[in-house]
Amino acid sequence: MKQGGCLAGFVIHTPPGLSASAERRASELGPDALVAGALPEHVTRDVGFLDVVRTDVTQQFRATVEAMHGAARRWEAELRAEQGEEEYMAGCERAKAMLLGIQEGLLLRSLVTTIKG
Amino acid sequence: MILVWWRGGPETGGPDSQPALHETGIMGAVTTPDPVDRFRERYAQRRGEVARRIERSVLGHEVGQNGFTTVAQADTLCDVLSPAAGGRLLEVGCGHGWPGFHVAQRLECSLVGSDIPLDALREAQANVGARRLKGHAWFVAADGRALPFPSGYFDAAVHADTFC
Repeated sequence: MKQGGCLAGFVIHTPPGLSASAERRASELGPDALVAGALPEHVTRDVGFLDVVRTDVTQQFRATVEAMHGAARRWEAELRAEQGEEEYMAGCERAKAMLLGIQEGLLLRSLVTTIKG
Repeated sequence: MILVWWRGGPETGGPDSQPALHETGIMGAVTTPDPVDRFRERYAQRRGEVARRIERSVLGHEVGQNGFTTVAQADTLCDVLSPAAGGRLLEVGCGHGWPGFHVAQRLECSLVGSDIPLDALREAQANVGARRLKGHAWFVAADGRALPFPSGYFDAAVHADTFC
């Protein structure tokens, strides 16, 4: 990326200071794309980006997962027919696990913006 | 067009399982960790009308993604990137092209999307016309940590819920 170019994105991550067992639980409850073990702004700084700003959007994340789970239950019959029993159940379990992880404070979602140094 | 990049470059030959990709100009094949395989499986599944309806109602779009980015959040990315935009935008871990399509369209950038699952990139490529980005969007099957572009090529970059 060009010097001075902006990098911006959303990251699902764990909070700082978790014990090893809490990190493991976060990994079990979280989505596949989970950044664990370090805050995203630290990772970004370590690879040469400047002016890193992190904005917590966990409550919007929770609302989105809740809404997706709610919609999946509302259209349960159609979705089961479309996806098959196994995939439908797996999707519901994933959503419930993420909501639990958010509720327990193990999963955060942030908007991270930074400038290439 | 989708480009395929593999270690050693196309002239050394790609994996046997992907001979057709080289012919179609897809660049790719990388060493991948396990979670990437799960993404690959998920992207290989056909998304039905009900799943799309749910995505539309919750996120405000129906790109068929594996993420949680709403239209309002994609607009936030546009606002943040705005001063740096107008040139070449990279979306790392683009999947089906969300939110990269949205940002590129709004900021009138050209878009390069990179990801590993080829099914995702094919879907993204198929959506280029509908997104009114024909001739302005390309996709690369490559690891985001080893992209086949020179340093300083991109003006800005976005990502959303990408595996790191």
